[in-house]
Amino acid sequence: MNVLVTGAAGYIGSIVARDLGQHHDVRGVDMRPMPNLADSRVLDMNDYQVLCQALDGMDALAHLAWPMGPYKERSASENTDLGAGVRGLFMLLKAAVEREIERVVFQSTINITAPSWDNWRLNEEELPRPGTSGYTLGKSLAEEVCRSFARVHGVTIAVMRFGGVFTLEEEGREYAAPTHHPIPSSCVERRDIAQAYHLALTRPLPSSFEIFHLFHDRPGRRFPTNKARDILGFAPRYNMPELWRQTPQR
Amino acid sequence: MKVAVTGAAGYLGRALVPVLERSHEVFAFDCVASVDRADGLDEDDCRRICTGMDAVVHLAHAGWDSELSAADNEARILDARLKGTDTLLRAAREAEITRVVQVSDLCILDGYDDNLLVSEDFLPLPDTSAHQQAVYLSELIGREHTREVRGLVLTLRLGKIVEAGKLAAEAEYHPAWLDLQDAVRAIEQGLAIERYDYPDHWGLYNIAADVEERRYSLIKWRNGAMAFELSEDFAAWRST
Repeated sequence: MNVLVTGAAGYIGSIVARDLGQHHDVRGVDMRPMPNLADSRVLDMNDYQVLCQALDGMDALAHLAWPMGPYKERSASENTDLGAGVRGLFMLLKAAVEREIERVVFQSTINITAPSWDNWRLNEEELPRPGTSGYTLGKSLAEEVCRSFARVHGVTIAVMRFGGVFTLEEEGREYAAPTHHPIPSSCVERRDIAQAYHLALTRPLPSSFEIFHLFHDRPGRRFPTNKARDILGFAPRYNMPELWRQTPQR
Repeated sequence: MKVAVTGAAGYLGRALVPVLERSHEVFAFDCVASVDRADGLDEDDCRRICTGMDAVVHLAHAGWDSELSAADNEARILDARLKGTDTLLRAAREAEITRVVQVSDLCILDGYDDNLLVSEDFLPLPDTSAHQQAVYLSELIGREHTREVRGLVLTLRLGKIVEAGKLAAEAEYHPAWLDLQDAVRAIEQGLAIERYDYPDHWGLYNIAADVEERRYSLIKWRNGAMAFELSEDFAAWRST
């Protein structure tokens, strides 16, 4: 299947694009170059005409692009959460529906549930309380846009919520060692996210709009991933037991 | 009270400002030059709108401009309601304003079957037009701000605003009709009320004409802080 991956130059998107390439024909878009992808286009999320054209010939969309930190400087007035983020998603979904794309995976964040992190067993039913910080507010509005498009047009949309993304690969390792993350021991490795994207693009889903929590596997999780396991067959391979299992003393 | 009105040069704004001026000191803003000119997406302009005010009535939004492409229209409509509402609410909080009346639209309940009596407790079902998405998402922006500054936002979901005095006799009655003067009255009332009804930190009321065979439940509004007699029930159009 032909899959458009947005944000394909990013910390997560580059791995998702690379690993999806084992199963699909991947086209990547990003505002930064993607030297490892054969089919890629450098573009700005605000340029929705060019962005939507990138969907031509695609069967599915994995949407990871979002206006983030330092890249905001590139066009400060336009590159905002409610602009390039929410408005960009609206344009992309509209173009996807016009092209009869049937499957979309949207990257959200577990951070929209942060006020509930004083509790455990937070599953996908947890209602977002995003607050007014641009990133969480934008991501939570974006989930609502996805929900509307799925309800009205029948396009199947899987929303991925996770946090604490780490890597055990050499490339980008300095970015996020799991021990340095603000929610230690609730995290997920990039290659496991890529696995979940492949599953969410291909497995049958119970309804046209489904949210999945993606985290590594350990006892007593604040964010259980039973739903991703049962519906997608998600089985994280990088579970970082050193974060939560005592090393036997000799 | 000192009250700023955004979108003051629009249809509702032009009717609202003279009425509010009877009891308030009104500062009218719009992106057109007929009143004090302000860009609702600009942080500094929003600060200028809010500074020294007690309350803001936020009417500003973008309509469809036939000169522009569909995509450009959609982008403007989304930006005006999303960035515009968020930027204004941030400025209002900075200026320690305690009441922002956000004017919304009953259309986000259109997704329900005609035979239902819908109320504020019904989950909105916006379609995927830029207008309905923008209306729905801007309500959520208001909700998040008023969760942080409790009571800040009063969201009035108005019906389709018409003027009974100017309607053609053969016009087809629509259950969301609301007379312009009743819409003005609702906003005036919204500035005056001291508390909201459930939830008490976010005022959210549906308002359409008060008719017997109604589509929109008026229970919350009638029994609560917002209650007032609506003047127009469009009897002449409903009977035809």
